[in-house]
Amino acid sequence: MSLPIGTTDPSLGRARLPDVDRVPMKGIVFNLLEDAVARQYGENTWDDLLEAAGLDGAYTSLGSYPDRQLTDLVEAASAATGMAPQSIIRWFGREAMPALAAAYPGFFLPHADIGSFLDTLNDIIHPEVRKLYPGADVPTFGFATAGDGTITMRYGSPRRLCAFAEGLIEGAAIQFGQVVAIDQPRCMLRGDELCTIEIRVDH
Amino acid sequence: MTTEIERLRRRLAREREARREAERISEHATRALYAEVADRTRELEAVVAMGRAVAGVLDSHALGDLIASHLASAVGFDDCGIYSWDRAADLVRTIGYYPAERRVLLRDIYPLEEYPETAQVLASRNVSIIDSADATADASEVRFLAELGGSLMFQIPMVVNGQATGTVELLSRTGQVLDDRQIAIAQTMANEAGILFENARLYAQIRHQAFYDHLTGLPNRALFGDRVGHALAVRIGEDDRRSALLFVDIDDFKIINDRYGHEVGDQVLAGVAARLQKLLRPGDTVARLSGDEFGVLVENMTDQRKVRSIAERVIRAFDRPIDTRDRTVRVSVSVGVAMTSPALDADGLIRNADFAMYRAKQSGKGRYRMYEAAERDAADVDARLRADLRGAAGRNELRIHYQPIVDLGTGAITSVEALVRWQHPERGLLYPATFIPIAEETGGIIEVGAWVLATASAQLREWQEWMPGLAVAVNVSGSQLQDAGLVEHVRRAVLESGIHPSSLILEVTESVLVAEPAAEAMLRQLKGTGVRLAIDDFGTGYSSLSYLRRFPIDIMKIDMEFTNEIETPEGEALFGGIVQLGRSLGLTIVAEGIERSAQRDLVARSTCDHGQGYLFARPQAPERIAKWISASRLPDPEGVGVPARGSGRRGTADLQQVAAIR
Repeated sequence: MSLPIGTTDPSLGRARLPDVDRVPMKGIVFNLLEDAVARQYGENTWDDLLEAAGLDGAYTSLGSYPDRQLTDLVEAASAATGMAPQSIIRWFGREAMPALAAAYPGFFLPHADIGSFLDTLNDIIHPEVRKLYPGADVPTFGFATAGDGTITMRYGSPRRLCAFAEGLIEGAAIQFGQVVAIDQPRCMLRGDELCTIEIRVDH
Repeated sequence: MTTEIERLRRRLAREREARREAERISEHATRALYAEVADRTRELEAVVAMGRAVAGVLDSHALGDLIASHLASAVGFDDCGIYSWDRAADLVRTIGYYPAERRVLLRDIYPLEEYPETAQVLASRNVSIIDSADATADASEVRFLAELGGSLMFQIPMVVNGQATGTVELLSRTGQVLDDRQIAIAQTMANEAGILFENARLYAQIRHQAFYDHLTGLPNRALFGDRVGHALAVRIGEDDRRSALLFVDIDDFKIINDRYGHEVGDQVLAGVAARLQKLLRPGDTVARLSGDEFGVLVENMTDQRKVRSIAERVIRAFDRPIDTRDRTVRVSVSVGVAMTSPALDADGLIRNADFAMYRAKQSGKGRYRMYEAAERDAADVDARLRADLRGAAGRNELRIHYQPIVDLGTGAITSVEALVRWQHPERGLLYPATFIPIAEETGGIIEVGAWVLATASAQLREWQEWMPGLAVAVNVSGSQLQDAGLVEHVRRAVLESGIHPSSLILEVTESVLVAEPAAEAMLRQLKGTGVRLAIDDFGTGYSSLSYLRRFPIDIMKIDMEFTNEIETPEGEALFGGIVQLGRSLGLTIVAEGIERSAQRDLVARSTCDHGQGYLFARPQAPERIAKWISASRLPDPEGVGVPARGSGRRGTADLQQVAAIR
């Protein structure tokens, strides 16, 4: 078995094995959700959601919390509003983006459009996220661009948060003053092996 | 209101909890950072410690063991092996292991075709892990691991300037693994090690270039001198443990080079080097000293017979010609052998062997000769004399002594033989036997010969005032006979002195006449100037007598050996026979070496008419000869002076008649 020097092969090293089910979610995600909910529906709504989900909700950005708590919160919101959980997650992705853009303008400023921004996701943005939030388990996407400019992203995280990705992409497009149409011909939630997210920029 | 307060209280508790959590995370991160810094510092120290430990270590194996131990301790592993990659041979060589005592379990070389995983590490410059529990792992690598008692092995390439130069293998017995950072530190140290090995290799190469001959791969003169010096140092005080030095020189190497070109010459040199190496025991040293000269040091070799047999083997090794790329070249060598002795340094020993080689070459090619101090002393003296002899005539250091030749009938002087002497400023009066061979060798004989001819002729002219019929005999050597200028020297001597040419006799030894085919023509030219010719030391030339008729000879001087034997009946008969032979050819006969009156009487009785020897007079300085000549007689050596034949002493007028020896 040969490895290039310095790569992190998860099968190597002590206590480095990413047992996906047990890798918790970073507190920053909960902080972003709290911000989005409080901004649109008021702080009391966040309190209500925590109460409905049965969580104490003391999230700190660098802390790590079970994935399950995010699911619980989304389900509580779905029950309260009648919206589908995937729609809520997608909304969360879109609404999280302004706060991220304000906090980390360096990821956005070099780009003029959503396409070149997404290009830097695997190699720049996510590695930086790992530095800021040690232990963050960010997904790796497969990218392809068709002749007509349609970007295809493949997503295969066991978390199955493809809707969150879609929302983040929509929110990012807004940062660049663009509107995108997103389609998912394949989705793990529908029993496919991977999710395929197709992004078309409307001009 | 209560609900609102309750809600705010819950929110405050939540914020407090979040803050504490953040503080815990922060503390933890700080501790982790300190631990990380400590780890990094330790690793950095390991690298620095390695650097410090290897400073000045230039032997790659010593370096290998040191680096292996530092690498193992830097990552906390039990074993570490270091292997250098020989690309050309497609193998790796073991150059270091920690712990050193397990080094015996390793082979010196591992062919890469048997170890594909190692080959892959070198080709890709990527780290590899061999796990003996992994069923897909390469069998030979797993076997290697098992031989060393390990279960897991990390192979890390040493990379210098983007090129893999070898591998570092960290071996674990417990299944302990390396994390990314340990791999990174091991990689850093491995690369550092690669540079150190490269430097050691360059150092060894430069050392090799400084001490080995590029063409033959043999040690050069500097290293040979060092080895000889070492052999001498070890042997000091152990006189029974001597070593032999053979100085080997290719015969006529210049001709080989000129005839076939330098490329063939170089191949011959390499061929000679290879043959010499094949002959020797492992501990012996063969070196190329310069050009076509080789040195062989045979240590602990006291038995001279064995040394001689080695020298013979060296000579015989060239019975078979040397094959070069294009042709077969026949080669012979001359060998000089010198033995160590406590008083001798390396240079001295090499010089002695060189001298013996020179003597071997003089005695003919393809031979060996043992060094003998006496020969060397003589040669040293010769070298001094050779230098001194140049211009000796010009510095007025040459003298001529004259030995009278007398008429055995009358006892009167008929001629004198001119014998050259050298009044050396430091060594006193030297006889011809000491310096004439040197003069012959250097060509100085021509200058000396011309001076003797001129001086003796001028002297004779003076003496002829008293004794007009007196003649002078001057010796002419073989090399003078080969010199076309001799005739001119003779003519000028006669002309400038004003003597009659027939009063100048040129003596040539029988052996020279026999050895020089061109002598006959020269003798005829000399004869043409009107001088007379004498054959000197007659009877010692072991040759056919036919030349006596061919050559225009006037006088036969019978060698003193026959005079010496004349007192026996056989000797007397032999002597008489020689005289008869000479007379039958119409030659004047002179007996050399007459020391006793009994000899003189027998010589006279054999009808030999002239004699020369201590009985009459030793060679004398010209002043003493002048006295006798002015008195027209020799003092009677025995106070008897009675001639065996004839009618007593004659006057000057009679001497004139006799002097015209014929």
